[in-house]
Amino acid sequence: MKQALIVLLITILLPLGLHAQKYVTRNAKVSFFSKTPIENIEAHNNQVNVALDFADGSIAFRVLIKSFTFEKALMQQHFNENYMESDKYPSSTFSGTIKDFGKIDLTKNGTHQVEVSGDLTIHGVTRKVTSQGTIEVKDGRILGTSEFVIKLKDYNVKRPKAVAENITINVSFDAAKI
Amino acid sequence: MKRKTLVLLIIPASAILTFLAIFYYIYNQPHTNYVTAEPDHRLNTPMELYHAFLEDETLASTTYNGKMIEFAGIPDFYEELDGKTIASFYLDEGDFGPQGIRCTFLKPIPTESQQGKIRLKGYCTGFNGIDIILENCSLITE
Repeated sequence: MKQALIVLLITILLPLGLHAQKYVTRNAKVSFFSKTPIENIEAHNNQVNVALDFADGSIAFRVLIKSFTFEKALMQQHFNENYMESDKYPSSTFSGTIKDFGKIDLTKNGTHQVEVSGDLTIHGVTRKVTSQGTIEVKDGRILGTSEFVIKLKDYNVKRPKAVAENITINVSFDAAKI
Repeated sequence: MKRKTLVLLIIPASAILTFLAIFYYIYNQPHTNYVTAEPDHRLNTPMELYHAFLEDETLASTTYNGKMIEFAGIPDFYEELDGKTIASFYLDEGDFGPQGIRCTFLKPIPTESQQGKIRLKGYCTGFNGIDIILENCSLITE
């Protein structure tokens, strides 16, 4: 009888516990930077969805290309029309997992160095990427940062001569439990 | 002879200066003025836009992405972020809570204006799997 009660409780509470490990934000920030001899190229996007599920360590985000803003209108126009072809490829996505996510105690404040790996799709091309990042548990929220260094030619993105081959993409978020 | 040399110098110098001025103007051209920009699509409700993306995302992306959209409705939620007001219209329930249309305004909206039905226009950047994003929004006074 006692065992049956325990099994029943686990059956009821386990899905609730798993659901409680989902975190989401709609205001994640993605930016990229490239140093050129003439001028630095920098763009920001503050309308990015990030979803984390600590039940399986999965992390995903989707970035709308047209939401990137540049200081110069002409640069933004060329980015969308000539290089990212945002009408044809309106978004970029990442879907992956946090390595050793089980070691992160979501009930205690603390910062953890993590490795994130998964599929990054840019300009319609999907490639496996691995990156280092931090996950901070802060008062029940999850704050994360990561940096991806990509080669534009890997994603069939044309490159202006002045722009470096490698682009650094920064991701940061503050996700709340759902 | 001296005058001819001067003319020969002035003409190419003027051409170079004109070219540089045009280049400078184009390179530094301002962003679109979204407050004065005319809407490309006037819709009756936010649901009209949301349905379009749900039914056929590819077609809706072609129609609405990169365009100014105008509609009227009652936002379900307002929030302030980085000095801007974001109004959310919740039109559906997804795996990660309510979803619909998120409109980021160019300027903060006074609290007294955050009540009831509003008419707005904004630049649609697409559907991110949860929400349709409208940026550079402004209120339209009826």
